[in-house]
Amino acid sequence: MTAGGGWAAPQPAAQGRIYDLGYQPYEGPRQGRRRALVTLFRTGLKRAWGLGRPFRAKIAPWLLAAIALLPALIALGIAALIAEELSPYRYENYYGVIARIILLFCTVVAPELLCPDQRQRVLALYFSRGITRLDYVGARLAALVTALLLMCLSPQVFLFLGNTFVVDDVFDYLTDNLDILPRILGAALLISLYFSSIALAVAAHTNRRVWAAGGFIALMLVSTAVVSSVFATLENEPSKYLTLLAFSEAPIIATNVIFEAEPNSLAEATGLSPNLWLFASLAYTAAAIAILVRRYLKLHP
Amino acid sequence: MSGPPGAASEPPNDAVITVSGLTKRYRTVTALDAVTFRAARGIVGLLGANGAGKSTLIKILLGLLEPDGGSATVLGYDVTSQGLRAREWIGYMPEHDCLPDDVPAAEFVGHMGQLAGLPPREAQGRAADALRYVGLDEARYRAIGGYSTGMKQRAKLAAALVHDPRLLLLDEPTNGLDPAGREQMLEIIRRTGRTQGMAILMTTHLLADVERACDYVIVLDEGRLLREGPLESFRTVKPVLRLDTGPAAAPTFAEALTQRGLSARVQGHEVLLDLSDFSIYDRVRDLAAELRLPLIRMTQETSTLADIFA
Repeated sequence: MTAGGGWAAPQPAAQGRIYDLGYQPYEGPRQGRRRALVTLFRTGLKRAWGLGRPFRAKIAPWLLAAIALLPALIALGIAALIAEELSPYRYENYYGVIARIILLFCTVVAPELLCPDQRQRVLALYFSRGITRLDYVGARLAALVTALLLMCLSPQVFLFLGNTFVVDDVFDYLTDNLDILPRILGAALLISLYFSSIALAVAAHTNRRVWAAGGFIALMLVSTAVVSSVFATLENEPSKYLTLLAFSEAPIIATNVIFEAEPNSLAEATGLSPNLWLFASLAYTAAAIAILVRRYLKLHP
Repeated sequence: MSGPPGAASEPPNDAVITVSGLTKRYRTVTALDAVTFRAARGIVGLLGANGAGKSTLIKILLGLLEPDGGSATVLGYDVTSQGLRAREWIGYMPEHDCLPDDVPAAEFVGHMGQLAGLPPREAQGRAADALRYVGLDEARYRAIGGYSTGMKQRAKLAAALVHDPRLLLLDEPTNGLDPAGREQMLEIIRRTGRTQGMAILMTTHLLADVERACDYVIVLDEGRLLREGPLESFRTVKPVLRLDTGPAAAPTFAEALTQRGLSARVQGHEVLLDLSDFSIYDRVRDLAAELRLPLIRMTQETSTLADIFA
C-alpha cells in the first residue's frame, strides 16, 4: 500500500511483479471541512486566472491585469522624467482610472466561477461532500475577491515601489507616504468585495456565462447611465439621491472617504457626502451577498 | 485515525440507515409518505418505478433535502442535524450527468477526494487508484467530455469511491448503459459490496439489476414502502404447478385435469395447476400418457420481484 493508503501495491518478486488491482481501504489523514474549503478556494482562484486551463481561458484575465498596470507604468515614467506630482495617475484616483477594467474583469471571471458548476450539475457532487452551501458560496466569493485584490493592488504596489526608487531619498519617501498603504489596501478591499459580491449574485441566477456577463455589465452601466441622465435632466433633490444607484460609480466615489481625496464629477455635481456613498456601497455589498446566499440555499442541485 | 482536531473521525456505530416515518411533500405531490425501514450492511436495492420517491429519499439521506416529517439516520448520524458529519463518510453517485466536460477524470476525481478532506497528494493517488479500479486507467488523463456514457458512469463511481466511504449511495447506476456496460457496472458494485463489505444503497427501477447485485430489497411505490426483505424472501415457492404442454394441447390438457377434479387453468401455452399434494405430479404424468398429450416440462411456480408490482 502507498503512503496515502492507495490501491496499487507492487510486490517485488524474482520473476516479475504482482499488482494488487483490488480495492484497498484508505488509512491516511482526513482533514475534513478545512481541506474542502481550501480546495474550493484554491480551485476558484486558479479558475479566475485561467490557471490549469486552456490558453484561451487565460487571455482575458491576464490581458485585463496587464492593461490595469499601464497607468502605473506611465505614472512611473512621468515620475522618473519629470515629477511624481505631475502624473495624472495617483494612488487616490488609480481605482477610478481602472474602474472599467475592474468591471470587465468581474464580467469575465464571476460567471466562470459559478455558471459551469450549475450548468454541468457538479453541485450535486459538491454538496454531497462534507461542506455546506455557505462554504461553497464563501469559498467562491473569497476566490473572486482575492483575484480582484491581486488585480487592484498589483499596479498600486508597483507604483509605490517604483516611486520609492525613483526619488533620491528612499527613506524620506517611505516615511512620508507610509500612511497611504493601508488606504490603498482598504480601498482595494472595498472595491473587490463590492464588485465581486454583485457579479456573483448576478451569475448565481443563471447557468449560462453569457447571460451572467451581460446581466452584470447591464446592471452596472445601465444603472449609472439612467440615474446620471435623470439627474442631469431634473437636477432636483430626489434625483440627487437617485444617483446613489449608479452602481458602477458608488464604490469608486466611496474610496474618496478612505483616501480623503477630492470627489469625482458625479459626486461633485450631486454634492452628496462621500460617507453616504460609502454607506450605499456597503449596503449594496451586503444585499448582494444576501441574494447570493439565498439563491444557493434554495438551489436544488 | 490520525488527523488534526475537527477532522473526520470514524462514524459512531455500525448502523447503516434507519428511516422512521419519513415524509416529503412537493406542493400537491407526496414524494415520500411515512416511509419506515432499517437497512443493514450489504448491498441494498431501493426498487421502484420512476416517481416512486427513490431519488428524494437519497437526497434526504444526504441531507440535501429537508424532510417534512419523520427522521432518518445514516451511519448513526441524524441526517438533519448531523448531515455534514454523515456526508464525510458517504460516497454519492447521482443519476444525472454531473461531471465537467473540460477536465480530465484524474483531475476531477482527485478534486473530489480533496473535497472529501483528503490531502492533495493522497487525493491524487487515490484518484488514480479509483479510476483503475473502475476500469478507466488508460483514459484517466482524457477530458471527461470525450467519454462514452458507460465511462462517465464509471468516472462518477470513482468520484464516489475516492475517499473510501463507509456507505455508497448509487442513484440508478446502470442508467443509460448498454447490456455490456450494465453488466460491468453491476460487477463493480457486487465486487465493492461483497469483497470490501462496504455498505451500498442502490436505487433502480430495473428488477434484473436488483436480482443480480443486491442482498436486501426495499420496494417503494408512489412514495410508500411496499415491501422490504432479503432478496431470497421475494423468491418464495408457490403451491402452483406450471405445465408446458405446447400451445395446441394446453386447452385439452386443462379440460382433462378439471374433469378429474383438479383446479387447472390455461395461461398462454401453459397450464397452471393448484398443487395440493405431490401425488399430482404422478397423476399429470399418467394423464399425459393416457391421452397421448405432449408434456414438455413440469415446474413449480416461484414468485419473483415482478410479482409485487402485479
